[in-house]
Amino acid sequence: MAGIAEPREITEQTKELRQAPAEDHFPPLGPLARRLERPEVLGYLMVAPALLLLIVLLGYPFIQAVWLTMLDKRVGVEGNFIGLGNYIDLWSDQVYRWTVMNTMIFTAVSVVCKVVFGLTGALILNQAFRMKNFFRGFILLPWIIPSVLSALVWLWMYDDTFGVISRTLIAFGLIEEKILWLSQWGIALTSIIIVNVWRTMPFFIVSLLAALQTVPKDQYEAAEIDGANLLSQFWNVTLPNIKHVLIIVTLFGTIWTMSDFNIIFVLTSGGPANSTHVFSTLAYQYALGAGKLGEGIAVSFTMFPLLFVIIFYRLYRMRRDPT
Amino acid sequence: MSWKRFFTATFIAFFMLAFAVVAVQAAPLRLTVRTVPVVAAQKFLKTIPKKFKKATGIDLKIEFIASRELRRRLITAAETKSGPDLLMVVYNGAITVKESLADVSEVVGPLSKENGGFYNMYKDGGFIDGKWLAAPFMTTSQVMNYRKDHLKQIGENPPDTWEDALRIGKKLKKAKLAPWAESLGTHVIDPSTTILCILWGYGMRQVSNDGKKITLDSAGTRAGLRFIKKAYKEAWPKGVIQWKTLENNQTFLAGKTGMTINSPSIWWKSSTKKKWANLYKNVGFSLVPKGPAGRHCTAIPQYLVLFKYSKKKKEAKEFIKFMAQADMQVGFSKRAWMWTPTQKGLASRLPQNEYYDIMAKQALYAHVPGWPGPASKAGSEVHQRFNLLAMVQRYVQGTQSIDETIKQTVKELRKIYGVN
Amino acid sequence: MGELVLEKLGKNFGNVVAVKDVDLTVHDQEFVVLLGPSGCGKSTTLRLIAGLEEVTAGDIFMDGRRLNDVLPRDRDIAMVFQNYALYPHKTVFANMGFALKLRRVPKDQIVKRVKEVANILGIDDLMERFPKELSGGQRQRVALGRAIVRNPRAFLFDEPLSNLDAMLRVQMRVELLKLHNQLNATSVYVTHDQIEAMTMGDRIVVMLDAVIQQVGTPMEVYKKPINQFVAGFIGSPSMNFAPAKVGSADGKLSLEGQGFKAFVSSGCANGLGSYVGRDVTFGVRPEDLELGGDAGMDNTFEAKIELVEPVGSDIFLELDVSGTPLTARVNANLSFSEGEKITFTVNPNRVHAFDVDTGIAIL
Ligand SMILES: Nc1ncnc2c1ncn2[C@@H]1O[C@H](COP(=O)(O)OP(=O)(O)O)[C@@H](O)[C@H]1O
Ligand SMILES: [Mg+2]
Repeated sequence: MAGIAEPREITEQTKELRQAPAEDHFPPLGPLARRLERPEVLGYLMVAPALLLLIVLLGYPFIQAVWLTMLDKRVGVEGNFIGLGNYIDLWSDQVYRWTVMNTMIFTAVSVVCKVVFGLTGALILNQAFRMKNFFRGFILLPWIIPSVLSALVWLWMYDDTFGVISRTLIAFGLIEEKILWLSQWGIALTSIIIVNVWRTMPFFIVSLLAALQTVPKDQYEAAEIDGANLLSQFWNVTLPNIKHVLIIVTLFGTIWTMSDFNIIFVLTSGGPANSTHVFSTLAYQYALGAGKLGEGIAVSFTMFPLLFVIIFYRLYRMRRDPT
Repeated sequence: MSWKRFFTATFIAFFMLAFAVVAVQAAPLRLTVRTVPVVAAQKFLKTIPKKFKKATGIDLKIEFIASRELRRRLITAAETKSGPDLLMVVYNGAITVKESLADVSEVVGPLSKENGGFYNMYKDGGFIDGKWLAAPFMTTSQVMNYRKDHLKQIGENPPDTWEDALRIGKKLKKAKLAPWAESLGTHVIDPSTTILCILWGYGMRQVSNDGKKITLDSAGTRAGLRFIKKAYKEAWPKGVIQWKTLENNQTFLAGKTGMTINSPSIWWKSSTKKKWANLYKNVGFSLVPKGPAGRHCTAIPQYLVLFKYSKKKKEAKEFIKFMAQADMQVGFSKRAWMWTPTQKGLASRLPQNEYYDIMAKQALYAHVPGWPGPASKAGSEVHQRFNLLAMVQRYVQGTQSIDETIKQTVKELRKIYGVN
Repeated sequence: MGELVLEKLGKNFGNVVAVKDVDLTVHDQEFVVLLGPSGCGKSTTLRLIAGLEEVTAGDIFMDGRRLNDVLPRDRDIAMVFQNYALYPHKTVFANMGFALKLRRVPKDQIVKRVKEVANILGIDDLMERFPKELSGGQRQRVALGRAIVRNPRAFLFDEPLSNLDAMLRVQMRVELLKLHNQLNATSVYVTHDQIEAMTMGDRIVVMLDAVIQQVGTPMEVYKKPINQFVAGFIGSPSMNFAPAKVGSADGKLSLEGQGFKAFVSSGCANGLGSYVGRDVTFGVRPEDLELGGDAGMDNTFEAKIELVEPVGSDIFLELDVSGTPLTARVNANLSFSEGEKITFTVNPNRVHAFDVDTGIAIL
């Protein structure tokens, strides 16, 4: 075939179009249209609705919440403005100070465990073995079960009379007497962390597994030929390749962990002697227990500076990263 | 705008307004209560709208929610000014939201003088700032549950005093029978019951009768604390330190607890399954023991509160009156095992057996957490924030001495009550 | 040093036979190309040499040392991957120096060596960049650099140029060859591109279905393909095949098919004698069909032009010779039109014949 063929049939419409002078297709732009042509103007205009929605959906409640923390607001009553009164009150509250420490320990240990075990789990599941798919599905279970339910199951397992954990340990001769998993600050916090790690680890495993599967195989092979053993392959190939997912997952994990409520509420309710509270359970106690909404929200609110520091640090690191 | 259009618009607006008014009028009275696990009692509750309609011509709609949801519902209804007209609350719940509640003295006042009047505890949680803001609904007593067979085996009667209980507890333990156990974990029901029953019995009063002075640091408090520690060390299983409110039920049913303070739910539950048949025969009730300062206990008083936002206040008050009728109170109690009437005089119309007998008697000694102060937010807050429970836990676990733990708690209570 | 010997090398993946009975000696400093269609086992052979796959059967020797159970890192062999496999989070310098760093070479020596190699490759100004900041060709060079830095006994290349555009591919081909001449390292190069194979290889190893078909210099493989597959695979456009019968007249052997009859020059006809009267596959390369000749003469036949495909330097003619389709490659200076009838002469020295059943070359 030579050249580009002419369209066989020319409809009336196309004829008209062909005859019309070119200017008719593109009329000169008005002043508004000309402005809209500029990408920076149009860009802002196009994100404006989304931005507005964000402000309304997130910003408004946020500011409302900030305002509430500055009132001595109780349930069903208008509050008076007391400035930073709630925060000052909190700071002089010993339980609150414990809570800050608990939240930090709980979050830090939990997240570190989740990263370490999650990564280990992902690495194991990334190997080829029989029933791999079964395990990959199975591992999601703790994540799927509603957290109140799984917390209740764990409560049962930690039970001093019926609890399977102490019994098993005794059966294997590892301990002589039952351990009261929820009776003392240190042990109780550990027990809580175990459940929290158990519950959210699937998310870590699955996300990291997905990340691991995107690591190009030939990078491992190149490293192997370059002389890297398994450990240095992990440091030089695996870790850098999944770093971004790892950071995101850790970020989300931190937020979720820090705001976890159900597990602690069911297992210890903050006891014994109010020693295992985290921000969410203490906030619940203030707001729903005592009906002091302002102070309760102030408790949750003190979570923000911590979260902000973590999030910004992480994002900053990520943006600086060239890869 | 043409006249025609104006008329149409006005007509539509008027119509809509009229419709709205009719809709509010036609909407039923809404009541939210907890679901009751006892089947017959739940059925009885479900027949109430029909009976009420027949008696008064008012439509009633009952919504059932889990008991642990009651508190959340109370707070949200009060804060958002929307929800049911009448809501069930327990203990001191009404005080927390007192500003949002309508005065129901008009109906409750007269009721408080009928049939021997309400049990005293109802005033602790419902008579607020000189008005009835919560109407007594039903009573759940907390009694001493014990194994008849085990006590017989060690040759003991049910305890009358705390020292009796300790003696029995030690004997049970020594005989390797199911031990005496009281919850000491962190929960608003059973652990609070444990410590208040004992501490009150030994003379602890968190606040003076007028609520103007913290009176926690007393010989009675010390004696009570010492008793609890002693009982924990010598009679109770170590695990009670983490028991919330279900563990004593579970262990009792499993034959692993021989004596414990609890609502009659254990007794009821043991009747529901064949495997507990033997246990059912052997559950005994007795009064919560008394101490040097008398016999005191908690119970779970249940009220109905009427919200100020309600558009059905008149109908709601009708319902309060309706529910307070002897027939309703006794009728429900007969079916409900662990519920009894709110008025003292109706006890005589209950089934005549040792269980109902103890339940009715026990209620005479009951107070609401916060007692003996007048109904106050502070009293409720102390209960909800476990200050007293924490005081006991610290001392029992040895993290603080008796002086330290009292001192710290006094400080906390002063701050909460805002008095010295 | 770097003499690589493969003996009866075999590899199965479950039921899949990827490599079978491969015998091959790659001499020191030789550039050997593994050529074959996709899936024939070239990469697997290469990966067996590198130690990335475990050997199922046979042995690998490097300078006499058996490599079968030696870890990849101890084989002293470098490999360049199709997708370069650069470490994305490492700079060019770190990529190139990684192997040395793992071998605990002192820092200053690493710097010196990497600089040296970067100089050869002309990438010295890219040292601080990350792979994603490089063009395809630059990445290719870095991948080469990473291999060269180690100064290994042998280089393995797995289709290293296939991700580059056509221009760059030609350019890199030349550079690779220059580099090879400069470094004089033993190299095994995998490709499915016969031009690459012909231009680069000291010797070509043609593979099909896990098995080596032929090993030889590019010209040997081109001129004396050992079987019909090799004959067809090498050369572009590929060799013409047509069914034919072996005839004999006046002591001359001929191949007679539909519309053509080609006599074979007696010098090459050795094996064909036993096939007289039997069917064989006649083969002739498009460039061995010479334009012209008088109809009726030996080896000359008439053809109708079906399609004219000018490719610049040459013209490919799709011909119909009384029902037998043939392709001819003729000078681009001539002009043809479709449907035209022309005559061709087959060079009797360049005629091929293959056994119909086995495909083995008879001629
Ligand atoms: N890891 C593997 N698992 C299973 N089969 C494989 C694997 N690698 C290669 N094969 C199979 O082995 C055969 C040869 O593959 P390969 O050596 O990659 O071919 P080539 O490099 O010549 O394209 C193919 O059939 C391929 O599907
Ligand atoms: Mg390949």
